Amino acid sequence: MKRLNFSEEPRDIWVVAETHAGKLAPLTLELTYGARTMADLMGFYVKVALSGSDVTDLASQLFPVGADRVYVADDPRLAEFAVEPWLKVLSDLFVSQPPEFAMLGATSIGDALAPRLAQRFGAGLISRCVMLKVDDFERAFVGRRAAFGGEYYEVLTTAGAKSHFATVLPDTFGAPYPDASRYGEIESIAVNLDGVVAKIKTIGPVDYALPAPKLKNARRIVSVGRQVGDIDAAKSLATKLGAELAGAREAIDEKYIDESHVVGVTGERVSADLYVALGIRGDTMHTYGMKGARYVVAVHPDPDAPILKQADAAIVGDPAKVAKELIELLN
Amino acid sequence: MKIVVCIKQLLDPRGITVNRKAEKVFVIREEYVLDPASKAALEVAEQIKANAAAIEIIALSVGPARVDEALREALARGADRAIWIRSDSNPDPKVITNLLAAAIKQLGPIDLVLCGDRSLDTGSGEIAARLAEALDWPQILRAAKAEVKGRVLAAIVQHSGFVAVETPLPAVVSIIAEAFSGQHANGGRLMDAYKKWQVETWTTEDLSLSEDDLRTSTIKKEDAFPPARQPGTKVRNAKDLVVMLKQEKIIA
Repeated sequence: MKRLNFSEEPRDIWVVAETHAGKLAPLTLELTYGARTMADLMGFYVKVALSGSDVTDLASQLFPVGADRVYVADDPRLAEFAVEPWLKVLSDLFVSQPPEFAMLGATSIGDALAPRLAQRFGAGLISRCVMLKVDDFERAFVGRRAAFGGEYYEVLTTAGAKSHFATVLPDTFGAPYPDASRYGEIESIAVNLDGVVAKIKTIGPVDYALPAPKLKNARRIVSVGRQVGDIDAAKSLATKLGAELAGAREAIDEKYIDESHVVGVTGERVSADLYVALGIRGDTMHTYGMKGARYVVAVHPDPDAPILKQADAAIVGDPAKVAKELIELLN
Repeated sequence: MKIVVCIKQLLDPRGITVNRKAEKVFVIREEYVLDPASKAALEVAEQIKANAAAIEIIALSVGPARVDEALREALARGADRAIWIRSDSNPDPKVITNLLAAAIKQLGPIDLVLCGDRSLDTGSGEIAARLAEALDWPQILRAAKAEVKGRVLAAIVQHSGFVAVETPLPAVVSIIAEAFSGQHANGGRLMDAYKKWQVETWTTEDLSLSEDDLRTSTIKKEDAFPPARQPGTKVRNAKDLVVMLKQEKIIA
């Protein structure tokens, strides 16, 4: 592990910039703005590391959103993202300018670089944050990350580490408020890529199908739970609606569905236009899988069943009876 | 050729419920399962083994005694050797990586390391890239499948499709959970995994790591909860529901 040499208090928040098709990525502008907000609270500078080919002209766009200084590594060899050269450039930069705080986008680029930089420098790292702030008492990052796909969050801190890294998902800080009167400095950095080769070769797009994503692509789903009452009524409703029959995990025990038709944390996450939940109580492990559905109808005999509160349309009643009535009405 | 598969065990999501109002995660049944992404990684290792001769698959897992069960499942899912790296503290991704990397180095020349991409619970997806750093190998992240033909060929998720990439060996490849076929472990092998085969135990002392290597840099503080969802509309009966669905243009 390399040692970062903090000769003086660094007092910086860094942002690692990304560009797409000759433009700064919107997430980079958002992160710079987020860094500005944190820096103002802490009395820090905002520094941006901008790598790529023909990117020097983009640097000034970072000042209105909060950058104080932009370090530009402009080199044709950095035109396309590749782990090894980018890592070398950032690593060299961070050895000469040790970052106390650094943010990257939670993108394929950030996901590839941040763990490597953190491992290299022994930094704390909070990945895939949906909320991030600087804890001014601990002088560390505190960030929230989704657990079980967003059912709750885990709050992590980099307290105790010497440098603090995070990767951040879009919309964490919100759209930046540019201040056109802000200005900063641009410093171009020497790119030394001696002996560095990109080791991953991209061959091109490939046709590949994931195993059995049947439910995932279904437009309509009739989903059953233990309280469905009459499984045949649910099956007829599914046929009537042209829907796939699925269920909560408990429906396997009742032999209503098989393993491949479970919706939830331990099954599929669906994105149907219509999701009809018949006799499913709606614990979080199930509702996690149905969250992607556009319109959720829930029928359950128990008025306190949690699913009724999460549905777009909720009926307290006998699921089988409602299913039969629906078939009648749709005929 | 030797393939190492790093596997993760996690709390069975079927045994927990999240109560946003009470701001608490209730553990109803404390059971642990093999992460689906780890199952996917084991499956890829097995496929590679099926297409080539003389491949040894070694499963590694860091954790307390309970990971024994995950490692036996790995044996049932095709691993030839299973090694438990004993850790009773609460390691973060940095420490887990240092333990795994030290074990991989100790195992001698390894050609390929596979791991799950993001775990089902709070998957940060850091381990593969951190391992690549610790071993100074190339990394392929978010692969749905991987083959070995003198080098690694993989299909990785990019935008909404897949892109083929290749890299020389040795390399680290992370496999997405969605690639898992859902197959159960072989019953016969599962019996053998418990009755005939052994899980080896390595401790941190076996791995000659410094105190610094074992010091965590990121710690969990607490759980936080999003606000409870807004309830939708209460509907009296099927007739009103049909009217609503037609209004929303969900049915014609």
